[in-house]
Amino acid sequence: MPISAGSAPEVRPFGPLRGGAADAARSLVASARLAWAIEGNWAQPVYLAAFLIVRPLAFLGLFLAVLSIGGSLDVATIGFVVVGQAVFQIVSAALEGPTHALLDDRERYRTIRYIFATPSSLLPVSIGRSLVKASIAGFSALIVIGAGVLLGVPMRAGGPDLVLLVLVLPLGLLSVVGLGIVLGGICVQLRNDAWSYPEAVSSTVFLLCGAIFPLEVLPGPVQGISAALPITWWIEGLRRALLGTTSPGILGAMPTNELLLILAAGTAVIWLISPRLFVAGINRAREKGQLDRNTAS
Amino acid sequence: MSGSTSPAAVQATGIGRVFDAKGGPVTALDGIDLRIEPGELFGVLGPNGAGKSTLIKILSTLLLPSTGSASIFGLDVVTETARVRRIMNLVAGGDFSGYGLLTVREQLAMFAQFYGLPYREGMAKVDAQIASFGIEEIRDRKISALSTGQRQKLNFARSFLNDPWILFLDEPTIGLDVSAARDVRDRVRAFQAEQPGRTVLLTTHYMAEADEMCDRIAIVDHGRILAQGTPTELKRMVQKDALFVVGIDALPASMSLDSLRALPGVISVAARDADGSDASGVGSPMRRLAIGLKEDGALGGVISTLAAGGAHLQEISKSEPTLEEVFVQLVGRGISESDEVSDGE
Repeated sequence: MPISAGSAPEVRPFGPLRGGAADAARSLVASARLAWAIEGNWAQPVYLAAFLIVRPLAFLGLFLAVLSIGGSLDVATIGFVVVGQAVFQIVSAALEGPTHALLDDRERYRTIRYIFATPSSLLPVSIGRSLVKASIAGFSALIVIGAGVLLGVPMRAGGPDLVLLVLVLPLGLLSVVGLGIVLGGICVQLRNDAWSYPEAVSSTVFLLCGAIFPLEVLPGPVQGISAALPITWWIEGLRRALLGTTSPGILGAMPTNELLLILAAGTAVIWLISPRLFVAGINRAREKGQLDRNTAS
Repeated sequence: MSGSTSPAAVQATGIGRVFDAKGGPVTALDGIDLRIEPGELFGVLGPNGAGKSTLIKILSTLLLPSTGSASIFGLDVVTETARVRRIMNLVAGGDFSGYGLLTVREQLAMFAQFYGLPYREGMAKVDAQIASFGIEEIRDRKISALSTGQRQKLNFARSFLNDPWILFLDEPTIGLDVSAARDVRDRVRAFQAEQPGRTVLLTTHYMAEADEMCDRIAIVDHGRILAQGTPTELKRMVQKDALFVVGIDALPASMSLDSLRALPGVISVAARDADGSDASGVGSPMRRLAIGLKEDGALGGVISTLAAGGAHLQEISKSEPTLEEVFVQLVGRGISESDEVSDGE
């Protein structure tokens, strides 16, 4: 059919306009494949191994060394740190993932204008990239937990609580990815130093979410912020599923059912607002002319 | 064409764009009015910083205008972006974009998914484009290993995946060698020839490219359209009269330049030597006459008079100004000596 002015609103070049969900799923899968190619396609496998194995173990060793300065470490404390450190491998990857994907496409690969100019939304593209990064980080998390076992950390009798694990793991992951896309929507508006913000946020969350020390160590008002983070409850849930123990203080006092409810509610709230904030951020970047502007940062 | 009421391929009304900059607001576009009909290859010609890329970014939904409105085939570029993106595509020159770790085929396949093509249909189109561009031998090569010309071929192959109704080309031949640039131009022509109504908006600062390819051209500078029309119309703007060059062996003794100037329809007559320099001085070796006429038909009287006087005519050609001359007259400077304006481009 010849192209004619006025026929565009009704006629598609390749058939009827498909639903948003189908297009979003297609984009998510395509971007996940891309992320796998990028993240897993290291030139030297030895570097990939170093990144995935040595780095998390080095951090774990560092934290345990610092904590041992005050005296001998008991296995409960080691278990607390091991799970927190393991989960945070995934947290940081998922939290920083969307921002890194957007900035990589803008600054390094210079493809963001071509992706943005497709019918696909940047939202599933960013989520797909982030999920793959988080999955790869999951390998590092397993390595850290394995190290914990070698250090004598007593795992839950009878093995992990699989029911709790199956409920907690996806909820927590979703909540972190949701926070990550908010961060991506903010950082894509920034011209300079955009790369440093995700890491700064990730590090702050690391200190607040009870990954490395109990919430009671924090000042009172800051504990409120910690309790509002779904990540805090995610890590606690995973401790219970893997170690079969609870953390000290307010986290430990929370019944598991209520913990799940808080985590689910927090994740739902995050996903209620995070796509909107992401789209608003992208539109703001488009308005400012920042979306595809290479800043050489 | 401007009087037509049907939706145009591109309709822009009063498009303006102001960027915030450290030194204060910078106006990149200032009230652009444009109408491009389906099937046209429309060129936007201007120096760096003229606002060409900003215009393309707005029309291709990458950037919001500060003022004005624009539509693509009747679809608003601000409020109907999802629909606009289904019928358009974009290629920019010299940006070396691409995922270096992916192969040519992998990258095209990924974009086919982003364009919403079902997997099998998408892969069929990917392979068809690879064949069409003659890049089968690099289909499994990683993008990081491609030359500039190969990357631009890949970029064009990507842009054809969704069968766009309109293609935005932002300096597509910049940085390419002569052969690769010619190949790109051929591909664009073939793209339009394949289906009636396919429209191309091309920005360039290569005069010859614009002159050779475009049905109509808008000359822009400092965010404004200074003139638009067909290349011939633009040239007529700076040369309203017909100018012919007549080569002769010598002017007959019985004839003077003034006698030629007195002929009906003749505006001016100047003598030129073989190099085209002025040869009106006494004893100058005149070889050509540059004759300005009110209309082409007046040439017959001049030729008859010269022949009757015994002059031997060696050549007759019509002289037209180049787009470069049009540009210089309109902008006040050559395109290569333009100011670098930081306007977000």
